[in-house]
Amino acid sequence: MLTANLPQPLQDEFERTAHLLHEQDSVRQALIEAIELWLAQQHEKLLETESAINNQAFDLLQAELEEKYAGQWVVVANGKFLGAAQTPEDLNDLAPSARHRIVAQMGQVRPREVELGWQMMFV
Amino acid sequence: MANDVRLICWSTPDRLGVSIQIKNLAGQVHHQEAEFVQIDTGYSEALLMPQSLFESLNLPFWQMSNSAAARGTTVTGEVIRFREAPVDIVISNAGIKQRIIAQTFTRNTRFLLGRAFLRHFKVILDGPGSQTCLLLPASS
Repeated sequence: MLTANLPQPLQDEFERTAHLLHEQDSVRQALIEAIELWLAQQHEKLLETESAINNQAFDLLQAELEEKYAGQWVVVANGKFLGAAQTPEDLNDLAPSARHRIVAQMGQVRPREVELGWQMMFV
Repeated sequence: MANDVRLICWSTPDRLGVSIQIKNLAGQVHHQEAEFVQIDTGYSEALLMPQSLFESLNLPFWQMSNSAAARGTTVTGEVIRFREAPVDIVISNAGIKQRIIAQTFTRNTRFLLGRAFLRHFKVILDGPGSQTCLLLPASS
């Protein structure tokens, strides 16, 4: 059970809007939606933070990893190089609780510019 | 010739595409049932998926680096920076499992197969028959 005191104007507006949008169980439904939205936003922020740390580490390590592990798959998570293997699946057990890892095959060259096609051209 | 091949077809009266499942590298599939995905021959890569699907399949766990990530430019000049991760495309009724690179970008909701997907298969876009077919060796 969660209990919290909200500022009165915010509570009044929240209850009024919830009653307008939900017929039954209105405040509970609106709270669930609000918490789900907040959690999704926080997960996105956490993911972006981990991604930035891992990409920064990868950029620093890339030249060394290319030299040592040419052709192999490497994983960078929690801002560190954690291992190399012949397949990406062999790296699945590394940093199991990480939201974000970089998994890259060393020496692989991929096209940099994508032709978007008509469906994406107008996004 | 006709005896050497078999066709796996999908009825596609209005759109051309195939039904696939997408599996992450831990074996998790996005749906238990295959899902119809439209083919866009103007899109040069293999698979574009909604951002929500990219995340629900936990693909940031296998994400490629930003420095290697592909880019695209829209007609308005906006540069799209893709997030990419390897996945397996599964077409159960054809016995196909193909490793490709999946892409998404922030707020993307499009779900498309592109030319890099088509390079792996022989595909018949049968307009008069209102179907899309994969042409496979009879023995596969």
